[in-house]
Amino acid sequence: MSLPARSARMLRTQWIAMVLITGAIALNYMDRSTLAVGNLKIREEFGINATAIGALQSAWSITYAFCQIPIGYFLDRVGPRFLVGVALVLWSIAQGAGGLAVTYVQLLWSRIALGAAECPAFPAAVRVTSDWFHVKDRGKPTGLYNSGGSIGPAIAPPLLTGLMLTFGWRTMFVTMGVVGVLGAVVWFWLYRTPSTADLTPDDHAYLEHNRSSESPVTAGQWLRLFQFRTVWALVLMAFCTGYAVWMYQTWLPAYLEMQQHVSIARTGFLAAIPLFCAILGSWGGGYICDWLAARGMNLVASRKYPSVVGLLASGLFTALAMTAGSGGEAVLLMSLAMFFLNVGITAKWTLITAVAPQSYCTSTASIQNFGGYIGGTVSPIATGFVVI
Amino acid sequence: MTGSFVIALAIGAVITVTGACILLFMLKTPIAATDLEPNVVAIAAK
Repeated sequence: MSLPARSARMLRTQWIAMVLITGAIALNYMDRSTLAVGNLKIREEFGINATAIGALQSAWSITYAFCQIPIGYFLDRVGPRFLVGVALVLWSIAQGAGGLAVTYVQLLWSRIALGAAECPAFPAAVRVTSDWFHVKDRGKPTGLYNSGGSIGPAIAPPLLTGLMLTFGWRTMFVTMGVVGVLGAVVWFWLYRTPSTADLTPDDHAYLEHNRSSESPVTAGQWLRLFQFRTVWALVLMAFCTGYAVWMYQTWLPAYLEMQQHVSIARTGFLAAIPLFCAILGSWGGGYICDWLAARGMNLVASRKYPSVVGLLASGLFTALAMTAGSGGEAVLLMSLAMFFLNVGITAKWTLITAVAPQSYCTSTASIQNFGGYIGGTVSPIATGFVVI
Repeated sequence: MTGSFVIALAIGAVITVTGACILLFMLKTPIAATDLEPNVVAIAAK
């Protein structure tokens, strides 16, 4: 069955929404990166060791993980326009406050606040996608917003390092806070919800399937989600993908320098290549999901199998990377691993909106993302324990 | 020290493949709206 044609205005509004939420996610990841970029300067100024910096990172990730669980429920009640805009302002204040911290404890609290305020980003992206796109068309927009999680880390090191070397780490933190507040202004200015946008009857027909999202879930219904094996499968799978993503994002530069003896100058360039492949993998994964659905494949299968194949291929290339004999070979194999990992992750995010009823997409997404960030918290620690 | 990265990658590979297996064998059916909210059909029809 073909979907109703969309007007040019509808298409424009849909993709503006996706570009905005992708930008918010990229900014979200850049703010997280400020701690890694400022690592040595912060240690110098506060007189703290690497473990204390690790504690700042852990405080952020644990807060972020646990705030995931309820955020979908709240997101469904207040909507993405309000919550993302307010979250952008709050996390930017937390980010900027870190740059004004006088004591280590103040810096610690600013990272905890950052973790809490940043948590709506991905569940909100699921809500924006499920508000604006038919369930068969959600692969490509999902690929776009998922790539925000690689765009941020890819552009952050050169941009933030330049900012820090020119003006200092405190100015870098505050500048990112100011950029975030400006981002919130752009979000409130440009983001539209389907109920307030000027759409044609065909556009409304296209979105008809999404209408049930207008009735938010109750607390009892939300709790019932935990009874489903499907939800637990998503949580456990997200733990595995979160582990893999953060293993690469945290340890790749150290691996290149320590195992492959690549110079620090070359590491900066080489370590960015897998991130760019991750962006391509996100876009490719979304395209494949929609392509399979458009060719009549069962909706769940068109999301599930690309995810399974993507993860299997990623595991294979990660295993092959163990045998790499040079920095170039390692980067090639890890780039392929990151490409397929992101095919799998994008298909997983798209799968959520296919296996959960429309009203429950956001809640299911936030619950499974909790698993992802527990994996993301364990991974750097476990890898560090094995390596050192 | 260099050998430890090989172990770290091996763990990463096993966990990634485990994720694929969990999805393949554990996720079988979508969640039915009626299981969560028996009157969802009536709400959607409004």
